[in-house]
Amino acid sequence: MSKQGHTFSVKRMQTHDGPGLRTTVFMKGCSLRCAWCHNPESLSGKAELWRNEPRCIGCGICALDDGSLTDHDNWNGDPAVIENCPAKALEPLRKDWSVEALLADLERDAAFFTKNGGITVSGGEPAMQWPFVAELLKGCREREWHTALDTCGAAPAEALDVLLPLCDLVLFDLKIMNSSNHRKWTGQGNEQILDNFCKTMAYATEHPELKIWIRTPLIPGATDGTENIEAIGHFLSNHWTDQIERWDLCAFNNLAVEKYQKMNMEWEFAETPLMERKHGEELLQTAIGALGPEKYDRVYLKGRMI
Amino acid sequence: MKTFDYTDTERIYAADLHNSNFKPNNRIKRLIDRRDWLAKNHKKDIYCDNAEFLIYHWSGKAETFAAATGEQAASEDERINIGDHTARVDVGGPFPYAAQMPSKVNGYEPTVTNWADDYAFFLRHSEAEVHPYEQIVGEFHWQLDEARYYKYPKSHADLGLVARELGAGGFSLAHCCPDLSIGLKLGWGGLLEKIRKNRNKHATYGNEKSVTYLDASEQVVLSVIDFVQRHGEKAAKLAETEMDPVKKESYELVAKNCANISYEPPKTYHEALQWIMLYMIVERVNGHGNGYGRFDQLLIPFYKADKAAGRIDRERARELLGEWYLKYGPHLSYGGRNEDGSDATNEMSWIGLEAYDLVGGYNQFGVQWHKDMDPDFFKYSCDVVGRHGCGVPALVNSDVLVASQLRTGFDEKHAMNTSYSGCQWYCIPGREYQDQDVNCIVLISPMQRAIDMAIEQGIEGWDGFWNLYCEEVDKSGEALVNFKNEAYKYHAQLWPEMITSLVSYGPIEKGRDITDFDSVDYNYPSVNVLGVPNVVDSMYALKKAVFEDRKFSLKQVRDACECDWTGEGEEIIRQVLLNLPKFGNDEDGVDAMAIQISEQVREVMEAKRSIKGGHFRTSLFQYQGHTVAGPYLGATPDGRKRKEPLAHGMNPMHGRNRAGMTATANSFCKLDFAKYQGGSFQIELHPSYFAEDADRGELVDQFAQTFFEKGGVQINLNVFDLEDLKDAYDHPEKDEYDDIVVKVTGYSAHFTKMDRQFQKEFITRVNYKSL
Repeated sequence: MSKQGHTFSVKRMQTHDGPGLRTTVFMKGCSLRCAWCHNPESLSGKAELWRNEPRCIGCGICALDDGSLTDHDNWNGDPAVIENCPAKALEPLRKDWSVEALLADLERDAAFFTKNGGITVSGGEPAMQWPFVAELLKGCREREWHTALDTCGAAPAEALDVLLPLCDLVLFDLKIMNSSNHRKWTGQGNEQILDNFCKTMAYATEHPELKIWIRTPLIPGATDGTENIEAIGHFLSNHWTDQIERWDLCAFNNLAVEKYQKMNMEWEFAETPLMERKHGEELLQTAIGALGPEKYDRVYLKGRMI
Repeated sequence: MKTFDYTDTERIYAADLHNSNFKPNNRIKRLIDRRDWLAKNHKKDIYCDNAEFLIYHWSGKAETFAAATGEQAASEDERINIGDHTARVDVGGPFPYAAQMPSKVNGYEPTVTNWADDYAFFLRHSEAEVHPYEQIVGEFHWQLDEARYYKYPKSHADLGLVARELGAGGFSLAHCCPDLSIGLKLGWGGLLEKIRKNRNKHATYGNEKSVTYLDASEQVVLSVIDFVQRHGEKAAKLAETEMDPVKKESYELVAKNCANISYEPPKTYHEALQWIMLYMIVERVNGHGNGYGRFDQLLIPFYKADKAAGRIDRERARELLGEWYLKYGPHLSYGGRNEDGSDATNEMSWIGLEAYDLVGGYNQFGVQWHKDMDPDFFKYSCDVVGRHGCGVPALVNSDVLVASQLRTGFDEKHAMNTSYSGCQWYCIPGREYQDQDVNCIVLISPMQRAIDMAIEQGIEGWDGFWNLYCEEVDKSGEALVNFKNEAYKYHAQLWPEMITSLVSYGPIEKGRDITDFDSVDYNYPSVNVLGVPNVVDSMYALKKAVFEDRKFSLKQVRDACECDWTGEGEEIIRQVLLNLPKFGNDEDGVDAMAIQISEQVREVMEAKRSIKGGHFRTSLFQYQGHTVAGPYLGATPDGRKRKEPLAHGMNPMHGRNRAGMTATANSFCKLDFAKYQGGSFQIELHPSYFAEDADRGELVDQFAQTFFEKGGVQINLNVFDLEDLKDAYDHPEKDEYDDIVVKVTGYSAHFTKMDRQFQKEFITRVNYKSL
């Protein structure tokens, strides 16, 4: 097998991306451009690097010491630049793997995540690299590891056809129900996403072993309107199956500020404060109301609020 | 506020432990409040003389921890506060009868008789403390070393300074584990009779030394009986005039229990707890404490009998044990296996954890996991540590403890009874005296000498350098052994441990103190090794950058270390060394170096004997030296700056475990912990690590079991937000952080009450998050 996959991070012992303890593989490259994105380094599929300023000792060896330089754009891909940095302040943002190498890396934590947990493939948008991800998930299946796919839904339909049968759990993002708003905030409408959601639910109906978790980011001014949450709730209600184990409302966090600085990117949420808990609780009630009060125990409010 | 105020009931009753699964009643709430008040007001602190004590475990001044008051007290500007890690309750001022101590009036001699006269006088002049609302009493305000001269001969100090030069040191006091079941069965009267019987036996054979010892021991026990009686009498007197029904009832209970157990053995669960509490008090006035064994095994017969007779239910048992913890929650254990290998978990194990769940906060006990443990019980243990977040209980791998005892040469039957007894150490109750946690080799020191010698001798290759290193480690080890042997010659006469000896196997029968030669079965001195991960990272860096890649010369690196990397171009050297692979990231190359370094020092120490007969056992742990050692040892070739702390125990150096805690766990488990005397894995989890609705117990359980299945030996797990601790450090005036309890190394303490140096080290630790 010669397929190469590109990740921007592999995080071990995660607890937020599925049940139990998990290793999460974050694939690099995304189909959406959400204005609030917490992982700006995940957006482009290209090999990039950034300079971790606090580590830099200004030795000048890299010759990238021009403050105006956008390192990650201008790097020609020569790994020597990274290797020669004595302080390891230049950090590559993409790692390229063969499926075998990545599986071997995941194997190191297998003892920890096999009791209750497994592997989550997230992104970026993992389905953008679906041939690689499919091989990866097959490898996980062969090892009897629990598999989860964390998708924004903006992916070619054929990708889901291949990936869904390889998953025990799908974490599906539903962000904004109004398509033009969706376009405004994420760079594209939500038609493909909703089609893929229906496709996923249709598949799930025939495969009751597949579990679904829905995730909605609560972003101030973008997704946190009552009508939006209500609309997502109604939509979910219409497509409900009991396999939808939970719907997580994930409150905005502002921890990505530094990442945007390192990327030399503007972030329109740089100054946005955390959500007030009261507002979060109201949206939780809205969500429960729209979904159906009997499903109150499936909706969760998560994240730091004030 | 100078003394604790019980009257502000509105505040006290409103206090709620939001993390607890059980609701304390108002009586317990008052006692919780008093515990917290004592800690917050620095009434429970323990001190050492100076930084050298923490680094080498011997200051050259005090023989052990610093005396808090009296002639041998440490100077206030030099002493270091180790935290609220003591049973002593400070009431200010020196022991009021210090000048009348028999050794002061009649003359001091380093003999058991002279010691026992002092002890008996000291205890007879220690007040019986009975506080309102308490149903278990016992407290002390001074230790014997605040009133009695405590110094080894000069020959000992001279060898101590030689050892210090070579990076070693240590003291001998307590740090073992009596078998309380002996005392619970015999009571003080039974112990007295046992002493007399054995005294007569030795007298028959003309064994004067043992007769002298047992006569001294008799004096000691008589003073204890008096001490217990006085508690009963005082409580009875207080009960007479008390009008408040809760207080009155409490005094009456105390009066009855203390009267019952002053001579006779305890018959009920409540009496057993009271017996142990007063035992602990009379033992700890000797200077420091011990572990207290397998508490579920000790208490289950009393609990069962009471329950069968309808005298107690689980709730009351929980309440009483919770109250017992509030006085001082020492190192002890729950779980483990029975002698036949079956799971020893019983209803008392559950009550032991529930009692902590009831009162929370500061405590030291551990749960001994093994493959066949009741999974619900272990899950509950994990739930408690995850929910309360204070490192309680410590999670310990019982099978590794037993394997390590067997490997050392212990009888299997004895080894199965091993109990977690201190920060990272464990004991067979009543059968060993091994200087756990009190000796130290600072491994940086031989490495630095080897570097100097290699430069001098023009050594070019790694093998030659490694041989020099091995020789230097041996010299440090030899210096330690000589120093310790000198102490062992005097220990039993100079500062015997008679209370501990009473409930051990051998001392009374033989008329020899537990600290003496040929008294208890096992005497394999333990030695902590400080700075192992720094030496591992340094040696790996030298091997790669100096001996293999020839990037720098050894002299370049040594000179850069000497001027703390301030020379021209030295920051680049530092960065290159610092960014080579480091221990704790699941990287086989450097992890292999960790095995090589640890094995080498272990083999060196295993080849050495103390004059008591046993070989030395290496512990991959050192409790606090890492926080202060930096400036004393200088910069190191791992890229560490002079002022930075050393790594804590076997844990990766601060900030160097970048691949997450499973990677660190994997690195740890490449070592065979059955070959060592402990090596705890310290985890500082950020609260966000757990999703709001996550089952913390389940996640901790899953991690801990896997860690143990891989051969890990101990987990100390804290849950806190490092930002809070940083803020607490920056703003000592803020009292909102006063309740934060952390597992410091192997003991718990209130964060804001620790020495600032300790706090500073703490906030540089990696706070595992999941975002």
